[in-house]
Amino acid sequence: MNVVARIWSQRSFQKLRRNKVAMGCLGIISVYAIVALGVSLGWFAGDHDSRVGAKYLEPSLEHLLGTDRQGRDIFIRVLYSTKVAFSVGLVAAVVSVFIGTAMGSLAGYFHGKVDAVIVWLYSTIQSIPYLLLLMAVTYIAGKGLSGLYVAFCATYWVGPCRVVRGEVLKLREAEFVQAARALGFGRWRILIRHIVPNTMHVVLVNFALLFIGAIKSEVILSYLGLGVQGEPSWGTMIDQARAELINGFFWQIGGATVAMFVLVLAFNIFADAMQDAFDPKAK
Amino acid sequence: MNNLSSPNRMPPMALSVTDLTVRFDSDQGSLIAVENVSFQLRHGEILGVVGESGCGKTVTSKAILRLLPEHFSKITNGKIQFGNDDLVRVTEQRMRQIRGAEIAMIFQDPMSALNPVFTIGYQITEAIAQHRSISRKAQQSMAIDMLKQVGIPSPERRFFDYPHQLSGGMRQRVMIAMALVLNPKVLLADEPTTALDVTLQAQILDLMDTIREKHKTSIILVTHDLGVVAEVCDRVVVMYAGRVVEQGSAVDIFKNPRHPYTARLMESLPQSDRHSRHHRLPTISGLVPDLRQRPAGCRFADRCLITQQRCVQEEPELVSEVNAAHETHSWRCHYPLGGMST
Amino acid sequence: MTAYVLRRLLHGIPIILGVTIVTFILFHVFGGNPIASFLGKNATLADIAAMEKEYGFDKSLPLQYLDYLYQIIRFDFGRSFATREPVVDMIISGVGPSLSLTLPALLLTSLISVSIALVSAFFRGQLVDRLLVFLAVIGMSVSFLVYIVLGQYLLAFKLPLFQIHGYEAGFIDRWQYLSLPIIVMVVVGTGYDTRFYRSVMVEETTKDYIVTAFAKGLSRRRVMFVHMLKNASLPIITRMMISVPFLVTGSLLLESFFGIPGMGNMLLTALDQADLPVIKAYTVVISILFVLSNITTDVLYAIFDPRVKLS
Ligand SMILES: Nc1ncnc2c1ncn2[C@@H]1O[C@H](COP(=O)(O)OP(=O)(O)OP(=O)(O)O)[C@@H](O)[C@H]1O
Ligand code: SF4
Ligand SMILES: [Mg+2]
Repeated sequence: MNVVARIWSQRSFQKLRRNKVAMGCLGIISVYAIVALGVSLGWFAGDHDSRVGAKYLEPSLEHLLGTDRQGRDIFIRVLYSTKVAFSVGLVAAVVSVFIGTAMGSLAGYFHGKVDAVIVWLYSTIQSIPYLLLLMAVTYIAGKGLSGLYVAFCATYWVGPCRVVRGEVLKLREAEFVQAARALGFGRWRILIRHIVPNTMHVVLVNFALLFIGAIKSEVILSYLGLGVQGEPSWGTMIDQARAELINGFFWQIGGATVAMFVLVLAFNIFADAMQDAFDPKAK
Repeated sequence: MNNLSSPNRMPPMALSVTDLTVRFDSDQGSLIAVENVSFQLRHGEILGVVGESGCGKTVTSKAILRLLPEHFSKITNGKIQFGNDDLVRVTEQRMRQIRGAEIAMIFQDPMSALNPVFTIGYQITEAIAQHRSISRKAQQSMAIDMLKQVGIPSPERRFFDYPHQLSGGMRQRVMIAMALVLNPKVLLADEPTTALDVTLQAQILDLMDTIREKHKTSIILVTHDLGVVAEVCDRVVVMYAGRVVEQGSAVDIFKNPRHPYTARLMESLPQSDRHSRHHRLPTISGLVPDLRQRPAGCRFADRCLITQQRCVQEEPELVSEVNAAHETHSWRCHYPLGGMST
Repeated sequence: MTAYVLRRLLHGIPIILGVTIVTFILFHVFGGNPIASFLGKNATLADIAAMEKEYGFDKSLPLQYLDYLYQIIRFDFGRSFATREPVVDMIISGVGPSLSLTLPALLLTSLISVSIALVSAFFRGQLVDRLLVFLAVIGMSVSFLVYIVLGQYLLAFKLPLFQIHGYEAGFIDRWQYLSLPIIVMVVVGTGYDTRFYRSVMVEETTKDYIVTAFAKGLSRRRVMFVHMLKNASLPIITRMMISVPFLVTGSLLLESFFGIPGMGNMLLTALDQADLPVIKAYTVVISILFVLSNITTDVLYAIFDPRVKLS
């Protein structure tokens, strides 16, 4: 049985699967994921940037959320933004979790100099205000999506690195690791086959948290002018909508806010449920 | 009859538990941790409660003081007669008067049971202040006196120590001092010696014995350790999977066990060691049944060596017998062992 | 104790050095010529050369780095590219407005969150508790920007309770501008903090000493407010201490949105104008504060927790 199947069949996952609210949230996340996939495959929302009618149209069957100042369909822009959110969230979470897990397990397992260097590195990054670092990196890497990716990955790996290091420090001394050592397995084999898979639970929770963090930060960076350029995102939509509020036009900010809120809420609840299910203290 | 209902007469038992049933509810469904447990604690005796891990000893003792987590556990049935009160039904207010003052409890792990951020002096005087309106000075001298009685050297200094500054044995003495400082009628001791090493175990047991003599405290001693039972207990309750399976005088239980479970516990003790201290409950092959899926028949059936068809189908009732010394001996088994010998 | 603090300070030095290296590399090595980017496309080579000389940017990179370190030791970061003011003066004038925003916000957030968490933990598992937890998660799931935009729209535009934008230095006058950003900051922080404090408290209530306290006959209130809270106060203090450096950094988002001339706004402007001296100074000052607050936290921990010994 491969590692993933083994972990998925564990009791904690059974508990997670029995949690109806959590599974509902996973369903919501999947719907968003499908929309994101659809957009990137060009199934729909390809016309997010074209003028489809007069500006500030109220919602109708044709334009579910009305139109914005430039006569573009808000609903289509909300859908398109889902793709942007997922790209940002996935890239940030996958890459940071990968780097963080690698660095964290090395630091925790090899002790000594490796540990000292890695701990020094993340303490340093932690002592620079995170938004400043993000901004500095986007500033250098260039505005737009790729800048965002670089910025998130450069800063977000610290979280998983710290928790994985902590877990590995604990696991090093665990009985099954001692047993593997006694059987004469090599250090790398023990680390990769026996220890790292056992940190999966904290890694998964961190993945969810980083995903949320990236989506939320994208909004802030977009407001600061460092976010996505040339395509809609929830952040740029909320930012644009500020001017419309004065005219009493709510559909743009409402649409983007609700779309983002539901996804983040689902992720938050799901992350909570994971934490609960994986908590070794809870039976 | 008249005598019994008169409030002035001392009740015949220090504590009398009848049909106690406790249910836990969790995400994974509910389970009955303790079912129809009945036993009586006489004045001035030490009653041993033994059984494997998870059989409900702690749940039973916490239920007596209603200390179980309230949002996911419930005493669904039963009666706990203490003086004129039924502890299952008294108000929370009355319960608080009883806790610490009339019935006190000590716990298995003295490190985690003491609050790490308060001095032991504070923690003891807090108990006194809760129940007696006396001056601070008087509280202090009461506490220091009690610390001295439980054998803490230079108690005046130790009074200001934090729990982490004491050794394990000292901490358990502090727990005992805290429990006994108001001279309760009943002491519930949940594995008071399990976390301690052998010499300390002996000292703490001697201390409990002395206390019983001196203050006429009635003690329920929950333990894993048959040696402890043999050493200090007058009578014994054997529990298995949330049920009382056998109950009787220590002599009957050791010399003439009727329930196969009790017998297996005794057999696995080497003869010569049977009366020595510190014998962990021997391991018996097989597992305690999952309390979530209770079998229809006898709970010991899948581990018992003499299981019959009837055992699997029908749960045995409690059967009692009075021995030559007028002691009641009861068990819950369709095919009890022995019976002739004494 | 003194020895401990000294040793911790020594351990902080590599981290501060690390921060200087990261900043230096980011802006000097990857960021291109800082003077050229500040002066923009229309600058003549002569202009650039003159300014490079003025700021010592004509030296080799290692020498420039040493200059930077020397600046830190003297706590003199030179002058801003843009305003030509001494950077230290700019920082000092930015700290006041930032603190006026962040300090009340931190205190209010902590007070409110600890109180809500106490209520929640006290009624753990009951309807009140579940409702509060749910509200906290909802609060966490709304974007910061939405709070700002809606707060401004509802409380300053529709109901003109507060000023929308701006700042006045007078100690009394400033509050009409600061109230709204403070409210937003409190609302944003309360969701996270409440959940954190509640889980700390709930964790404490499962400890054995809580049962002991109940077994003494103490009231639920006393058990929760004396026994539990004193133990829970350690993580609470830690969390508050960890936010101290962020008091000084101010809030980039709120300050720029509401036009408050604090540290956050200063940094944003500096980033926008590629005003390198300001950026470098800001980063170092913050990281020093960060290291200091970590040390203070550990010392406080030792004072409050009898188990911890500093050695
Ligand atoms: N907080 C709880 N939540 C859910 N179930 C519980 C809880 N506490 C006890 N139980 C259930 O009650 C049963 C009896 O537990 P109890 O602690 O009384 O055992 P015990 O006899 O004291 O064991 P030990 O010798 O290990 O202390 C356990 O098997 C467990 O399933
Ligand atoms: S009832 Fe049957 S199974 Fe149960 S203990 Fe007696 S003999 Fe064994
Ligand atoms: Mg127990």
